Amino acid sequence: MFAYQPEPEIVETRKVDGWRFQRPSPTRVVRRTPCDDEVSEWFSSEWADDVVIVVSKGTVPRLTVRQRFLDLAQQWEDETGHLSSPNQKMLHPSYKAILGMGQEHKEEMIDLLIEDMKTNRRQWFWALSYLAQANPIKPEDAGRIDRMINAWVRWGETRPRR
Amino acid sequence: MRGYDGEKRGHVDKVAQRFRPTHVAIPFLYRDFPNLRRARWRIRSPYDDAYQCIAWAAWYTDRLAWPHQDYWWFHGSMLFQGMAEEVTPDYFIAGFAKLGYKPCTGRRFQFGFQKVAIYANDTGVTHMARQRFFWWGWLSKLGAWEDIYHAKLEDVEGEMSATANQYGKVVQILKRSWWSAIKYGCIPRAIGITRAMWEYRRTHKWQDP
Repeated sequence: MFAYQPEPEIVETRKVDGWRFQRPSPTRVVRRTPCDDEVSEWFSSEWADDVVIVVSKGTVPRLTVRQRFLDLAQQWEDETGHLSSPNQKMLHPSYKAILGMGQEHKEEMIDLLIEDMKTNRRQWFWALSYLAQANPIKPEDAGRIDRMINAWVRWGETRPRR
Repeated sequence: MRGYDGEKRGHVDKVAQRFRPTHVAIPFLYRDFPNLRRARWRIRSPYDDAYQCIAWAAWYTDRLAWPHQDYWWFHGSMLFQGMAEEVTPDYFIAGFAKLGYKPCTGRRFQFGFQKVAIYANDTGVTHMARQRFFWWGWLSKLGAWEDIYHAKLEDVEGEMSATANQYGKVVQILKRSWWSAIKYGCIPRAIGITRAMWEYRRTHKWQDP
């Protein structure tokens, strides 16, 4: 028998003192679409067996690379902020998804990673090294996060564009 | 204290150190460290991404320490080319030997000695906690999050699974004498950091959980 699993709940997000406060929950954040109520009503009705849901391409919200990246980056930061091991942080599904996006949109993702590192101080050093096949961090700056970010930002400003 | 609110350094827009109210931090801490719900603990210093637990165990608050070429390490990080698949406790035992630490077995406070504990899970080493200098209890910097005091090492232990995002179990204890701490120059750093944190806590009105 399967253990009882409660319905995934909607997690509200709001700002408290400048922090994005989120009630942590083992379930993922559920993205609510405008037709959710209607769909749940169909399933709860007596003729639920007859319901066929056709998802057309036009109704699926299409996220841009930037939006998708920011969602994944926020999730990665929320769920791995307490970890110190870079190896453990890289195992997070969001990090892997971002690396996967980098394979498809390499140039755009390198720009996004550097911009995000500059504005939000998320540590994308290993992802950038992997995508850009470069490492502008000097040995004497290793471990000093401000200098490491500055090195990547400077590298991003002068890097050759394809 | 370094990284005060509103400071801007170079290209970096945000600052390393940010004050996170206790009522915002606690739900996150209880999610990732379930043993804290039943433990005696309190937050000691603010959220700061400029250092993490390994550096904190070695009394540094201005660097990220890890056996990798992009991070600071005791005897030079350029030795570590590429990424090791599993970072074993041996790297940390060798690194902390540079500060006078030697492996031991007991976790209890011993007068005249200071101890650090190495945590590991299926991915390798995940965390280090440092024993308080003069008394029982342990100090842990939780990644970029706050530095906390917790009474027992088990309070921040968790699952061993690589996907659990937890610290696993304590695998090794290291200790050194107080004389070694003086010999390796940790005391002036310790006094400076402690004074800065007392000042920060006094000005920010911490709420104990």
